[in-house]
Amino acid sequence: MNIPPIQAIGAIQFTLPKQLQLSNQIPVYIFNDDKNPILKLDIVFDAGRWTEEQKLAADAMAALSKSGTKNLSSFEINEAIDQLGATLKIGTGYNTCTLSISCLSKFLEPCLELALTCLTDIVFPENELQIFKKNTKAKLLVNNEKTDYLSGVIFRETIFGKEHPYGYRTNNERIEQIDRNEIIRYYQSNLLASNCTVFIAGDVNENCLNQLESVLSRFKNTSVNNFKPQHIIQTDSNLKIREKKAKSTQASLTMGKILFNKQNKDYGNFILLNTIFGGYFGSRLMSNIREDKGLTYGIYSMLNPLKHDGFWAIYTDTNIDKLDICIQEIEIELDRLQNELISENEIQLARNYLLGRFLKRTDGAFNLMETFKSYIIEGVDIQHFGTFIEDIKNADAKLLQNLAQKYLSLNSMHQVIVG
Amino acid sequence: MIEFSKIVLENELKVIHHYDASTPFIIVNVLYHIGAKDEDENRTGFAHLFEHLMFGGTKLFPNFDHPLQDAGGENNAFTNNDYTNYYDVIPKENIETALCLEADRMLDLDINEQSLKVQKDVVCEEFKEHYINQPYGDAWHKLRALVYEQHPYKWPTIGKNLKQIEEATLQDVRDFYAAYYSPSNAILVISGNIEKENAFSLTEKYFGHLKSKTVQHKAFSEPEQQVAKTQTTYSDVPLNAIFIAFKITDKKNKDYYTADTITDILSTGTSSRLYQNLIKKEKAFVEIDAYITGSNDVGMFVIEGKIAEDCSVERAESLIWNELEQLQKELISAKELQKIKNKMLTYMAFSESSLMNRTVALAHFELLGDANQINQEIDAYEKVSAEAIQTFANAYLIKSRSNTLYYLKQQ
Repeated sequence: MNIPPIQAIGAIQFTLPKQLQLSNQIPVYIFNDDKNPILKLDIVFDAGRWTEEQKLAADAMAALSKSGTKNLSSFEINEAIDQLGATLKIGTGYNTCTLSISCLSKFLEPCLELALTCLTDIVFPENELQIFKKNTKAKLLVNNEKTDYLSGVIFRETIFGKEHPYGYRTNNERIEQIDRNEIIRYYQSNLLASNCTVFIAGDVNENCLNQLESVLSRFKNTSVNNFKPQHIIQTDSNLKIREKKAKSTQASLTMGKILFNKQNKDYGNFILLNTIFGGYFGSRLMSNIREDKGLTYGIYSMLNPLKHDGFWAIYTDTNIDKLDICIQEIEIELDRLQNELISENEIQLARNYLLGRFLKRTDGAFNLMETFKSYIIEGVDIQHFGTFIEDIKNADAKLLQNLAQKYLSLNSMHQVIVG
Repeated sequence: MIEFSKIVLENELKVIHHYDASTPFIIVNVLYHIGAKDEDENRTGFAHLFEHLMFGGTKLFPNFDHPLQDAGGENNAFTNNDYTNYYDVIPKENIETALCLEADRMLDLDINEQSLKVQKDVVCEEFKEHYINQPYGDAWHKLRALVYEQHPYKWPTIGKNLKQIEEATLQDVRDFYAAYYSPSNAILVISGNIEKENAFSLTEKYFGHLKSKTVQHKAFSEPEQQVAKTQTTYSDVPLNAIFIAFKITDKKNKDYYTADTITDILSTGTSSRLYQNLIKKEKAFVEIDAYITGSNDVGMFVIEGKIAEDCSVERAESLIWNELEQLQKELISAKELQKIKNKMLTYMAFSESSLMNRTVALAHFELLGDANQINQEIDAYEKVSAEAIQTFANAYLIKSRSNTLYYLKQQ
């Protein structure tokens, strides 16, 4: 058999959404694709953990966002949503609260009505809060038995600090302290028409647009939120944290540092560097530590861009008796990145793989919407999508080595091991 | 309606093409009819271990992943009790790279001592990461062994234990490859942005010359269960858990769709019965779920839940039985049944919007006998009646057919 030559993939085009504004000024981005009679809609609020005055208020608000109104019980709201075959829920992130709907497009209007109910009329009954607290504590008990969960949360707490919204941990005391009035205050001051953006993708026909206007224009909650959060990062000076867990056979390792988000001019090049180092199956970490030495099932590194910062970390699980050699190999790979030029073949392989991943982000309305949304949330112009691709195409070995020296020196890394 | 075309090559390779010009990608999916159920009881975990070795390279391609990544693609695989499935997602320009790689490793895999040793270590770490170093991680090992008396579904894909994986020899691996990896035992699906004529002619070009082998499949049986079975295990977990499992039909039987509908009544969506009654109203559970395994042979209907600290195991268990008895005694209302069907229709519409899902489903249905069954599924769900649900509950979800695993925290 002859090996077929590899062809360059075609130009990667990011199809921009249609944009409009509802009569109450809410911006709407539309990604049309009428192949299937379905759609996804996200109403994204600039909020999340970042704008909490009490820890976990955002999580609790989101979890209880269908917990009942003056006239409707929790069951009635949930049943009405399920009756449409839809999912409708509010989730929180570090910097966002998002109401998400997935439904058949013919049911958009009743879904929007229910969404409006969830955004404006919820009374957060105390008994629902008590069930939430009880179940959250119980699930925490289970999570606290998982070394990978613990390693991840302790790592973020270490680099951002115990009080920072990117760093704080869920614990029993904080769950216990969640206060109904604080949830209501958070709800009323964050889920604002003046504070949200709508993204909709799928079978968005003319009817759907009319329904968006007729329902969501009635979302009038614009009370001004005067709370200006001031968050100070307090990184633990201790670079190495080792938490023993009796009876665990493996240890979970998280190692990394605070880095940056898409606003940084090095972002595109760094993504390429990270891919080579630990970002895909062919990476150095996977090749050396899994495929050559069999020390782990998986090891990878990634940059997690956030609105106000970003962090980069290596994650793996390994047998406790192989932990030292695993860390030693990670350190060797970090050193190599700074001290040796990467071969053109290796760069080209990672580059081609990465261009395939960028192409994937433009594949269909749902992928386009997710990608576009992440740029908006981070406050980065979507034009940079193309800039990053150009950076990835043009990066050379010297540039990548400089980046490694600038950002990935071993003595800047925090290391958390649980197990 | 998912449109597709099918041909069978001279070497018995079944080939399915499904066209979607809206994506810049093509998926090449190769399903081999070899799963954990074909394993020797003393060599469990082998089909999955072998899946890892399929990435070990050939003489032509010493590394499987590199050419694919170089072509802008990505790939992965999974093994279950019934089959092993490999897939490559590749920009349309480089379809030939994926086809060449898959055709090449179908018969020319270079299996060596070093790659076997490394992948045994990797799989042992995978075993520990997912089944030992996790709370409740070995529950499915125990549950399968409790439920099945004869059928090889009694062990999980990862294998019964680490020892059997460690003992695998190079000769075992070569015998296994020779016995099961053949065009005659595979289904190739090419889907995405490629036209039919091109897909079929490229298939002939890359797979047409491969030699076929005769593959033997064992037939399995499992006796009807007459008496309830229970097992109690104590472990270092923070909450008591309970698993109640019933043997049900295979995926080809229409009762399968009734069973799936019942799991939705019980636990899909926050208005579902178990969520509302057992978590919200009775506060007996902190998590509860009902699902079926979707196996090709005798499957399982499972209810599993983590019990609230202040609720006794006995009370939690009897509350689950109340819900099952409710299904046996009372016909589900038209409104609730419509709710479940709307959920199912939406779920199917979203699932079918993904090229990957359509591709794997076509391969799986072809394995079950007819790829076109993919287009009968919605109808099969639509046809489930309130009476069928009640009949199913009375026939299958009864004490004498139950298998209960109490997974309790150490005293």
